[in-house]
Amino acid sequence: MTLAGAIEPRARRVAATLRFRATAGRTWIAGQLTPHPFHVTRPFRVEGDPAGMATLYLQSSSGGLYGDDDLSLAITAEAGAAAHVTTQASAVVHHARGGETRQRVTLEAGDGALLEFCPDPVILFSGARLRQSVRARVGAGARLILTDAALAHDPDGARAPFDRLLSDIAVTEASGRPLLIDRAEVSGADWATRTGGRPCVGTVVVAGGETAAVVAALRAALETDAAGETYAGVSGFAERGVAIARFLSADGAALTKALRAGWAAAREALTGAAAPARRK
Amino acid sequence: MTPRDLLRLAQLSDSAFPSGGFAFSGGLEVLAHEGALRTAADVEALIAEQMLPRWLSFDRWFLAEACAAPDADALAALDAECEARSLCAPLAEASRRMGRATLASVARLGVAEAAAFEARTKAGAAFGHLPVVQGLVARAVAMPVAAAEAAAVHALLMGALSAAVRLGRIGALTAQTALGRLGDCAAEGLAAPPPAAPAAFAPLAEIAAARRARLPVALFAA
Repeated sequence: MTLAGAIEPRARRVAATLRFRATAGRTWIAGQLTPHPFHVTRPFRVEGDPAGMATLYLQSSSGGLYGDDDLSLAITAEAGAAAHVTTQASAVVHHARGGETRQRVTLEAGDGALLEFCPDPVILFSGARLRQSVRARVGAGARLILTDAALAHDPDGARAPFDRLLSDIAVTEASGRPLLIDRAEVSGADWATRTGGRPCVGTVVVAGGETAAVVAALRAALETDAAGETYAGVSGFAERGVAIARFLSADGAALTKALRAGWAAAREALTGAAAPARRK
Repeated sequence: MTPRDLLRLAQLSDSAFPSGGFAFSGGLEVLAHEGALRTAADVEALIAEQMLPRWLSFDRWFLAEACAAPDADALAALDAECEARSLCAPLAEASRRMGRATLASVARLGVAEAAAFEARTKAGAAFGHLPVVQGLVARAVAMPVAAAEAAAVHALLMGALSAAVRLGRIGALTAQTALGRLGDCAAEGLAAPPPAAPAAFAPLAEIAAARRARLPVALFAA
């Protein structure tokens, strides 16, 4: 995922916030603090989206993320708001050079809100060391779609792996009760064997809505033939109102296709309407 | 470790101990059906690269924490955390069912802590996840945590190999030679400190297990 625009090497702690508010049936930006290197588009509407939904792109015009970058982003969708936040493109995570790249995202979906946070995959270059976390809290009747994806790439072709990836996703309800905790830690050296020949990993997490319907939609969209370019499995936990799709894809294009398919399936299951494609 | 510890270890890790492990394949059955698990080498690689690392980075943490839990409420909290972190529904169900079966068996042996926690699961106040129960049992019978870890990882390896034998993907004797090599890997993993927090990254096995509903006929419950 790309959280920043022009990113300079070496340590910086930068925090950004975005707040969406529903007013008169439309969702607007009610608060925005996006210091350098963060950069976002103006919110806009996409025909076919839920009524009043705002879409916003986090932009990247830099060479990626570097060791000791420490970026955080807090997104709040107030009660009744509807927002889709995505990125313009994948983010490259460069060699950490002895440091550690950190990204922290906090999502808050107020009562009855619909919040979608769907960044493009992170691309882990040789020597990359990334620690990323997403903390999401969903209010009563809120719906959340959250995607996460990563792939490894060695631009020098030397088969030198990334160093380490630590990914920590937690979704809680307003009371603090955990609905889902997904913590993965893996070294680049183990990546190929753990991913079993399809080296790109994606996840779609959905909270709220009718879990059985969400699971059915995700399965129809993703659980295709085992020999296909993407190998996916879907689980649902109705008592907690969460569903999760995990998939392995053969390459970046297949991963992006699966991420979009998973998001679109979840959107339709949550809102009853087909999801219009986003331009990138 | 005392002779009594060794005997308890043998009893709890024996495939004859009614933990219900024989009913689960941990995704092996799906992979076999899909053609991704053809040989004994495939079986061994899957266990070494997916199941064992997952146990070492996830289940082991819960077992050790349960072993050190001060009371039943702390165990229940750990159990709830294990539930929230178990993201493959069939594997979560397998963990709950094996944990409850273990609780029931150990309770029948007269271990009061197991009986009390079993009552919580029956009342819907606990899930009874396997690693939490394994830690509970170890603490209740004063078994060293290292022994409990060895028993649990042996049960994991034997369960997977036994499933592969029944699926016709590995012979009984070959399974024993594989068990020797996998035991070496497990010992190496156990010699390292336990993780500071539970984590899991075994996507291939977890995805396979999640696809169980696609099987036209299933030999295993998960």
